[in-house]
Amino acid sequence: MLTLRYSPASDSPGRAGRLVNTWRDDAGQTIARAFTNGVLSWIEWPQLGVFEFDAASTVVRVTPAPGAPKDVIETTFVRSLQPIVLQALGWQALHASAVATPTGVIALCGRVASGKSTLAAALARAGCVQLADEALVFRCHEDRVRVHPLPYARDLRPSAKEYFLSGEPPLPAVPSPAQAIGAAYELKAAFILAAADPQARPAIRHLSAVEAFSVLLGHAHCFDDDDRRHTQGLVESYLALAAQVPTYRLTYPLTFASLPEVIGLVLGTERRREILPSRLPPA
Amino acid sequence: MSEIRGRLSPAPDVVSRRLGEAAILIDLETARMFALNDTATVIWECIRDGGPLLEQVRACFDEPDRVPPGQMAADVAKLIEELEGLGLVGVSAMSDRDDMSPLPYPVPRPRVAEWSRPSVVPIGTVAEALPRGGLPMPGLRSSD
Repeated sequence: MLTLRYSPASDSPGRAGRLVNTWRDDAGQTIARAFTNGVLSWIEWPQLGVFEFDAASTVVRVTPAPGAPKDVIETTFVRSLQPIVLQALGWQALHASAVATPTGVIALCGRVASGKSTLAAALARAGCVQLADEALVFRCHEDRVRVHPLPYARDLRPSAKEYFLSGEPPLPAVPSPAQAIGAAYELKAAFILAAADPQARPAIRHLSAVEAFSVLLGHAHCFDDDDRRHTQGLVESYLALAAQVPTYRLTYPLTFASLPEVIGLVLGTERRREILPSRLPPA
Repeated sequence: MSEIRGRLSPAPDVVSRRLGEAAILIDLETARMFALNDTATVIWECIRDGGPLLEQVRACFDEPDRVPPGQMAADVAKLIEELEGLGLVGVSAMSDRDDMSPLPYPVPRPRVAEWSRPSVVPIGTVAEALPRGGLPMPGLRSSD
């Protein structure tokens, strides 16, 4: 959806801007920072370079850091920066995994370590097509919410990798761009994942649209919450999302043994909604 | 309705949306968010659409005559006072050009079965609702 173009260092003089976002690694060290001056926005990633964009274009210009490997720049741009930049440009990005079912797309939202990736992989093994692992880009069109799959990589814990490697059937590969990327799918349900006691049974509760709005906003990527126009686009999109997409809280023990029951609950909830089939990517 | 002093309209910075029987209002100026209950939602929509307020509010209820005399007007006036205090509606002086005659077309609105005391409840700010401390960069967080 976005194009990356390289700029020589001399084309990108230092400029002053307002700091709008900082990303850190697990150790708390800064990975990247985002700035805007109202016209241009940019993300400084000291190890990779400066990625610059504006609202009038879908081209992102990168000034590589000295010695930064081109393949790392491009992979990072596609998998990590693209959802952030798209959100800055007017799409929305949920912190969620997602799968396509025969009836539409299901988003799986949750905090870090809530089991999003593992559940998405388990649903993929159960026949769904995984569309996102950690960031789900969407746009609201009148009475529909369309998701825009982007390239991603599965990021499973070692124990989850082992679980999927040892089990049957094998975990399907991440869909190729030709299979899943770039198509628009309709979002039909969102599940907010929450850990339960290991002895508890998985349970689903439908959230009112008002509850759903507040909860979904808690999983929203937001490039600049100090910018009023940007905030307006964000809240209008999440109000539309809450109004149009049934949202459920799914509480379950984070154990592999619970996954079959959880899958049954998620897919059963979807089937009971009697919704129209939407596009699935070709097998 | 003597309690309402002029022409009412939603403040220009307010984004609103009905969500089921309730509604959310967001003041973009302050980024504060509010939830309206079902009765307040109907009143808000009648304010937004213009026209004679009480008459329109009454028309949204299945059995408006079950509401004790004077209660509806008093509740509406109290809600308006709260909305005004929160900066969510503006009350401007009536001019000769303000038309308070019934709207020339029916405004389709969800029906409400029972009158309940209208309420507007603050639910925090947009910044408070967003993930605290931001979200991890996609593709670079701890395994999930």
